[in-house]
Amino acid sequence: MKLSPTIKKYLPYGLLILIILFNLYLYRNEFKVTSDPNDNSFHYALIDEARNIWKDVFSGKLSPLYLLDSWNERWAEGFSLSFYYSHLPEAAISLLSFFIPISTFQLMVIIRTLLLILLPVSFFFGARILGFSSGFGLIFAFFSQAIFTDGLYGLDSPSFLWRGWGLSTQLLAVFFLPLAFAYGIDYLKNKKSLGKALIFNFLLAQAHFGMFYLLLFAYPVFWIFSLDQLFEVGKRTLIFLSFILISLAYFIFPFFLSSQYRNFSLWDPIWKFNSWGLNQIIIWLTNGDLFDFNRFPFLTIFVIGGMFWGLISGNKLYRYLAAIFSLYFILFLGRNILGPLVNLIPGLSEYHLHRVIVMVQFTGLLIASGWLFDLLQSLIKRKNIVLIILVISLGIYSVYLMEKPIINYVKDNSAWIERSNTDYQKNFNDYQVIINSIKKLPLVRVYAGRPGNWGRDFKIGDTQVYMALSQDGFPTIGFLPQSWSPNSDTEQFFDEENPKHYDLYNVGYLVLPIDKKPPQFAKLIIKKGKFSLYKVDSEGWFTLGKSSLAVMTKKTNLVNIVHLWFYSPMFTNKDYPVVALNNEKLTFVDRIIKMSGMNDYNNDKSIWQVNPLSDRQEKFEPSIINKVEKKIPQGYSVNFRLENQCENCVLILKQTFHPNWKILVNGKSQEAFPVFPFFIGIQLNNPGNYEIITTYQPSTLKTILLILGVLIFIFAFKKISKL
Amino acid sequence: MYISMALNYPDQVYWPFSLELTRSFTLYISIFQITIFLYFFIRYFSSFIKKNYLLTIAAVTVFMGVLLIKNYSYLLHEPISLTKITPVETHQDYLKPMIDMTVESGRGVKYWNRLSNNYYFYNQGIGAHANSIISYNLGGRFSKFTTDFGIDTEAGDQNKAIFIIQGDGRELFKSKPKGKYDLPELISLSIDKVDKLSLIIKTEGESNNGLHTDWLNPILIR
Repeated sequence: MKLSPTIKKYLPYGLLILIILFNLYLYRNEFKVTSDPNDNSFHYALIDEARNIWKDVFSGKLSPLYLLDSWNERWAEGFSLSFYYSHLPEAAISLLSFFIPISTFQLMVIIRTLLLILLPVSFFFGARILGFSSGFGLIFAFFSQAIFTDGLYGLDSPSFLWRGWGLSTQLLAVFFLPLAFAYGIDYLKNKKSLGKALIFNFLLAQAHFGMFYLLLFAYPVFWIFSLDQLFEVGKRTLIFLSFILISLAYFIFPFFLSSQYRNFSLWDPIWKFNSWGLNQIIIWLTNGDLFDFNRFPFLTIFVIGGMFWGLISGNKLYRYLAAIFSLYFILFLGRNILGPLVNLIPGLSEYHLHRVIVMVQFTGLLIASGWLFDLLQSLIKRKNIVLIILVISLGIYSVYLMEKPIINYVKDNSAWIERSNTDYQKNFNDYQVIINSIKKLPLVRVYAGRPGNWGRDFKIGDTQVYMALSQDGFPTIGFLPQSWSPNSDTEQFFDEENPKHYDLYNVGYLVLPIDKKPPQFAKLIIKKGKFSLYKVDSEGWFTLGKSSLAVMTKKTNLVNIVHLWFYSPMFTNKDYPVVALNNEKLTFVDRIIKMSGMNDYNNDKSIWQVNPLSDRQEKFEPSIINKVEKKIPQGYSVNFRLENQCENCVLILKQTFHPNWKILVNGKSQEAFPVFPFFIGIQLNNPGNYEIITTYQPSTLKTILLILGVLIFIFAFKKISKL
Repeated sequence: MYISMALNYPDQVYWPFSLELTRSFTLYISIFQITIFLYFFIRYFSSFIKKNYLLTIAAVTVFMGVLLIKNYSYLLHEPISLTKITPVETHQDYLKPMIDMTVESGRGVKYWNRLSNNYYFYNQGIGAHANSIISYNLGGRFSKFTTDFGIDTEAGDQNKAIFIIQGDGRELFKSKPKGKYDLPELISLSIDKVDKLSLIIKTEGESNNGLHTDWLNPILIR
């Protein structure tokens, strides 16, 4: 049986189109989504936020640099999220939304669904760029679509589909991953495609920095596998990594340099940070759950076989692929196995190691494709028609068995999308009445429950109301789509029955289910459908307090002492301890303690033995009058009069502290500092009239590094790439 | 054989042996076995070692380095977390004591949970469940023991527990009954010359249902 060269050439492309068409049919209902039940709500909120920044940029209110570094106050008392997180894809999609006549939400849904459908294309071309044949590429492309787990956050559809985790940015990154890796290796191996390698690695980093960071480990390993060209490949590795570093310097350096203002959350499950451990991962691998949940372990067999096939192969690239699979697999075993060794690698001490599964699966699929392709080739070489027909029949049956659990998963997914859409449509108008009412009122935070209480079941469509509100641009409390704000962990101690907590966080509105009894002090604004909106009087964005204590601490030792403060006389008396993350010597406080652990201070004292916050307090008397607050782009301003001389007095802005906040007191710049829980504190002493303007400004270091990066690319890229 | 029998049938361990003794014996037997292994290894692989002496020195250095790093706190007389030491005896009414995690974490990875009391968090400790006894053979090497203790956040809110610390069978500390909403407590005890340290948790009342209890940040000082 001999195929004509033309058929042989185009058959893999035809089959690839078939896979895409199958995906298009399989995932067709994803296009109909009207509300999300998962992280996609968060991703949409980021796009919406970027759209607001574009509007301010177009109207001349903000500089375009805010697209790279801005203040997002939809969650956790505000946070410079784009300083640490994906931001360019959001900026690009939101810009596109100005030109395409559909809603921004629909645009996002279309983009993410198309990415999922077209994922095999990127895998196919990734394999081709690596130098593999179309047949190999086709198997790799098919495997990318066929992998299936019980929602382990990997490459499979439960990570991306509506009913899954909603990992849109990971999906974008997975789309770029094969191309970034392939062009990277192509440059190191053949000195070709440096530009493309840099572009796709840059795009990967922009989509998901964590995944890009993991991929970086693979490049030096390739150098180790090129000992015959030690100098040449070493030089290319250096050039490649240097250019990558330069292109991302504006993001990487500030990311690491200001890590103390990024929370290490204790609310995140342990397995996220530590991964699952040796026992569990070996059980999953041998059960087939890492690649083939709920079906015969087809892929698992090829991955394990591919591992041995790669290791004993005479081909350097195959050996290399098997080696990086092993490397990622060991890293995936996690912190309990690797211990402090992991923490020695910059950035990994706070990394969610369970996400290494993406690289385990990606490299696993590469070696699995290699071995299967090799087996099929040797079969074809035998020219035994009966055997070939038998294998083709078995192959088709295997494809059916592999797709069956995925099809079942997608079937349920489609039914649930329909159900959610119906519910969304039913409640949409009522919800709009509620949010339109809030929009007409002064801007304060909104509370609509949280995942740990009644808020979990209070939904519009399948989106919890607290998520929907943050999607619609309201500053909310209680919902943590990410936990990087230093206020994230302690915000969870917000007590909806305690009026002082509404003051603390400037929560002014409650959105409750119609049958939920409101706190006594809440006043009804409106009831509509299943929603009710209440108002609570709160002090506003600024308040006057004092700081009699400074707490020197690492960020990881802060949570318990802040929690204890909530129930201390200091809290009642508006005494906000200063947080000294850099051991600053503060002269205006009366006392200083140094946390030596989460529950210990001054080396030998326990907070449970001698509570450092229980000192007798003189009643805090000073007050401000004639306070007028105003929301300004990326900040707040306030005018007021301070009546008396005020020792230790601090004006508190109820936004998360970050060094990028700039404070003007009566036109003069003044240093701010973090105060409990992690708000912005501004020292005030003298009586008089004050005008205070507080704005979040993009990091100067970021701007300088960005300009330097662009200049280096313009002037040095051509010269160095020829070396 | 005697050790494995003792582990499986603790009620059939007769004097002069004891469960603690048999478990301690495993250490000495291991040392003995390693010594024999090294002797035969050096004897039969002496030519390989001579040829690759640099590699051998490097391997021994790495091995000794790892040993030193793992035990430097003890050697430098620094405080040691009790969680680093393997108990010689554990008994518990529900699941098994968990290191640096709550007792419920013993159900599997998806139940892994941090230790906390009223949402006051701890990085180190032992997640236990009443009724429980966890004993350590310290060999009189430590002078002081400090620990926090309390009911874990994940516990049910009905029942109470008493925390007891024994040294060589003698009661060194007994807490008042503690419930879910009580804050953690700290205790510091002299354990000079104590061979066997036992951490005991008893149910106060009739039911131990949902009584997830924690020894938090337990530290030994030489």
